[in-house]
This record gives sequence, C-alpha cells and structure tokens, in this order.
Amino acid sequence: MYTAYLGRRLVELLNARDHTQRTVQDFFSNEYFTLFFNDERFLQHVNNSKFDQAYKQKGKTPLTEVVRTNVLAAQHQRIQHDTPDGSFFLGGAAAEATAGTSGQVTDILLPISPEEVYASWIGAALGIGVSGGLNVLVDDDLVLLTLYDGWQYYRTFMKQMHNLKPHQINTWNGWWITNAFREDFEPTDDPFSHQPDVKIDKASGVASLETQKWVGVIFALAHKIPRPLTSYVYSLSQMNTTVGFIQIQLRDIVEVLRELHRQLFLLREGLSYEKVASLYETEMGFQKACELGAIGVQAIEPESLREYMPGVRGSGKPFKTPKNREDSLWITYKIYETWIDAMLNNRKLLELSEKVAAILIHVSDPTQRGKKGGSNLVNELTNSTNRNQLIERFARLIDKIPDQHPMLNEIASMIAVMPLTDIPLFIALLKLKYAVEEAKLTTSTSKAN
Amino acid sequence: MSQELYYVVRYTGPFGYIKPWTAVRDERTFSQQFLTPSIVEGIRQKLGVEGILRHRLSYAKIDQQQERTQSRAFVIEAKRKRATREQSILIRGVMLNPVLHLAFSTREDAERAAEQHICLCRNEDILLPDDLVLTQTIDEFDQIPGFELLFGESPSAVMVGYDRFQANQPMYGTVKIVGRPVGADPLE
Repeated sequence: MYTAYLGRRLVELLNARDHTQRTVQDFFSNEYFTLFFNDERFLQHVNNSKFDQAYKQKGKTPLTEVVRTNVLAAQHQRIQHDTPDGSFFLGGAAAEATAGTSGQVTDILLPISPEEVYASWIGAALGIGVSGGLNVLVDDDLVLLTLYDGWQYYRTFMKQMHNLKPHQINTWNGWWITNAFREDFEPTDDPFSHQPDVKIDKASGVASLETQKWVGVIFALAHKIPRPLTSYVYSLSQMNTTVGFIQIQLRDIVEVLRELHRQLFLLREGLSYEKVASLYETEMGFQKACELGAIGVQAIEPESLREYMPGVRGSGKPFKTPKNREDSLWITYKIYETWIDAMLNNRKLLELSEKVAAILIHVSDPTQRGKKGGSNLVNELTNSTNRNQLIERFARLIDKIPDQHPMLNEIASMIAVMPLTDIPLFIALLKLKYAVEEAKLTTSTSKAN
Repeated sequence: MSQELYYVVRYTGPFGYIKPWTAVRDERTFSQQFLTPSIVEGIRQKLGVEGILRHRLSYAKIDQQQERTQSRAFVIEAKRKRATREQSILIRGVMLNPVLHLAFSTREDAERAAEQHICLCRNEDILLPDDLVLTQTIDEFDQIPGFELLFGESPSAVMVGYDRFQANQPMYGTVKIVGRPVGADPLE
C-alpha cells in the first residue's frame, strides 16, 4: 500500500544521504526495531501485530530484552513466510475472504514481497498526525528526512519522561514537524528549546502528547515548502479510513500567513511568525476541509467568521466594536480581513470596499447618532443578504451623498458581475471595515473629548 | 492550421465514485478525484475508440453515504445448515453531480463517444454525454476547471495503483488542479 511505497522511499533517501547500501530489511532490523520496539515502551502501535500482542501481555510476561528479541524473531517469521494481511502489512487487507471488508480488495493478484511489508511499517511511522484523528503522508524529501531525524528525539523525550504513554509516533511527528520547521530551530544545540505539548491525566498521572491543530501543521509545511504538495490522508486502526490524495496548496496558504504576519506585526510589535500561526483557528475540521477536494485558502476559513456572514439564517451578527487598542478583537478582525481578501483576490474590489466603508461612516456619522438619519440606511445596507438587496440599498445612499455618484455606480457594476459565492464574503468585509472605521472614529473622538 | 486540436465530450450525471487503490479495510472512504491510466484504458475499451488524450473531472460536493457491505466469501454455519456473508458498514464519500471532460484525438472518436454512456468506477453511476462535440485547442482545454492526473513519473508524481492492463505495473502521475473544481456550480 502507500505506506510501503513511502517506507522504501525513506530508505532510498537515507542511503543516498549517508552513502550506504542498507536494504529495507536491514534498516527494519537494525535501526527501526532498536528505536521503536527495543524498549519497554514502544513508539508505534501496530494493531494485532506480534509486538501489540506482547505489549498486551506485559502484565504476565514483562517486556524484557529477551522477550523483545523473541517477538522480533516471531515477527520476522510471519513477514517472511505468511501471506501478508492487515495485522502486519500496514494498510493491508483483512486476512480472510469472509471478512466484512473483503469486498474492497482488488482481484488483481499482487505479489507482495517481504521487503514491501517491512517498508510498510517504516512508512506508517512517517504519518503526520493532525487534529481530527487523521494522518498525512507527504512524499517530499525534506519532510521525510526531517521526520526521520525526529524519531530519535522521540525516544530521548520518552526516556526523560517516565510517565509518557507509548505508541504516539504519529502525534509526535505532528509536533516535530511544526517544531523543526520553526524559523529559530537549531537541531545541534537543543531540539527541545520548545517543549512538546503534553497533557497529564490527573487521575492516573499518565502523560500524553497533544495532537497538533491541522492548520498548524499545514502552516509549518507551507513555511518551508511553498509549492503545491500532493499528500495522502488516511487513518489505520481496527478499520481504516482512506481520504486519499489531497493536494495542499501551500503557496496560496503561505501568502495568507505572510500577509497576516505583516498586518499583525504593525499591531503588536515582536509577534513571531509561529505565534501568528498559533493564533489561527479554523472553522472546519480536517476531514471537512478535505471534502473541498484540496487544502487551499478556502479550507482555512477562520473560526466563527460564518456567524457574521449573511447566509440561510439571515444577515448574520454585527461585528462588535473593539474597546481599545489592546482588545484581542483587533487580531480576530485582522485574521478575518486577511482571509476574505485572499478569497476575493481582487485588488480593485478591496480598495473600493475601503472607500465605501469611509463613505458609510460619513453617512451614518456615529458621533452624532440619530441626528441625520443616515445610520438606518447604513444598517440596512450591511444587513443585506443577497446581490439584489445590496445593489438596491447602495442606490438608496445616493440622496445622502450625491457627489459620490460615480463611485456608487462603479461598485454596483462590480457587485453585478461578482460570483455568487463571493457576495456573502464581500458583505462581511464591508461590515468588518465599517466596524473598524467606527472604532477608529469613536476612540479618536473619546480621546479628543 | 498546424495547431493540435482536441475533440472534447462532456459527461454529466448525479453521482460518481472512484475507489482509491489503497482502500482495502475501510469504514470510511472518499472518492478519488482523478482518473488513473487503467481507468482511462477501461473507458477507452468501453467506448471503442482509438485513444483518450486527456481528462478533467469536477463535481459539486462530496456526500458521505452510509451503506452495508458484504464479504466476498460465505461462512458455512454447519449447525444451522446455512451459508451467510459477513456484513460491515462503509461510509462512502461520493461525488455529487460529477462533470467529466474527455479529450479525443479525432472527430470520429469523439462523435462515437458522444453517443454512449460511461461510468467511473461503479457501474450504477451512469454519466451521459452532451450530444455536442467541442473542438478545442489545448489551451482552451487547459482552462476547464477540474482535477486531472497527468500520467507518468516525475518528482511531483504520486503512485496511484497498479495497472491491470499493463501487467500490474505501478502507475504514477501528478495531480493537476485548475480553477475551482469543487462546488463552483452550486447545487439545486
């Protein structure tokens, strides 16, 4: 399966890097086994494998060096002589034709070599675990070698932490890739200058690694590899999940992140790239994002923005006005704005929306609310739910600001040709810019008073 | 005119599903979003044409549909004197309203294809042709929104299965995405 393909790729890459001639089986027995299974706590869980069985029996038979070596021998025996099945060929089918999933198996008779089976273990250890219980395999030299380099640190970390639970290699990979792709990462001095995220169960005292947010992993990848990457998304357990090949449009995503970093840096000095990435929360879970067919700008829709956008349930919430310069709403609004800008991807439209927001402020004039009756018009406008309403309500502004006639005309013609899916985004952007302008005005007048 | 032309037929239908080659023990599987060399060869044989040069696939959304599956083999229950099949539950992410463009090298091939139905990987999901053959330049075809697998090995290629028509050799290709391939045409 695909895990086998990637496992073999890793061994090839390592042979090229270290000028060695290791076979996949050599690598499995000497390096991989030693690191992953030659300890009382294993790094990887392979459901129903010999290692899994021994681990479950460790109460009766402690996992001594001798026991572990015997288990390895028994596992070799199976791999060399038995027909591969899912219990030791990772990503493989169930053993019997009477299994409920047997209908999914092809009728092509594929000779699966022991080499391929060994490779499948190594490949599965390269899956990057993300929130939502899915793993991502990435066929990229830098990613594969980085993950491989991280394995030994997982063992080191586990040795340091006696209550750390075993079997979390995929979760580790998620943390390691975000850590190793940091700007300030220096593997030579201290790979743990940033500690892995660990949570401790109060009752049992058992510590476990925390799964990384999917968008955090995507941002880390985007930072180092700004090109489209075809990833493979899956999960292996009693039963598997195959999402399949999903392209991650890292270049588009990194542009959003860089723009956001630039904007937020103006707001809060000294904000690092990683901090900005960590502030970002998405609306969609990873599986939902994969349903979009590719992970691009659309997939990283910020959390809760939808509540403000017009939709089936009406015109959406109004944006609250930030209280002061320190208000965290500013950051949220910048995230919203940057994402909408990237989605609309229309420089002219964005400039126009800025100008419109300024005009709306002029019309409603929140400093003398109610005196001129303009604020109702503006409220109505920002509560529009569709294209027709929006154009019609723009038209009503003409009486208030006759001199802005050409601009209103321009905006109406742009709205008329805008794709349907962009309308709610544009309305949300108008509302947002309006709220921001309003905040600027009220804070400056309160200062003047 | 020396410029190479494609003769393009557009197929549409309510559902489409392409099983990824790695799905063998699943409780949940999404549809693959592109055709592999062996799928294209299967469609070519079904249509009875010389060759299919390119493809482009788009759809409205992925819909997760739960179904019951049965094992391939029977279990004999000697005591109860009956044979049964093991059942299992599978959630399948199916494409809604798939649109497939196929490019042919000759007008004859395209016209023949435009009179036939095809299916992707489940024979109940029938896609029907528009009865019109579009003549397009390569550039024009390249603008059609959708997914396509550009066949062959390259640094950005991924392995997409084994080719039953080529002695089960591994198949490779690079995923190409043009425009907005999912949800550009809202449902309804």
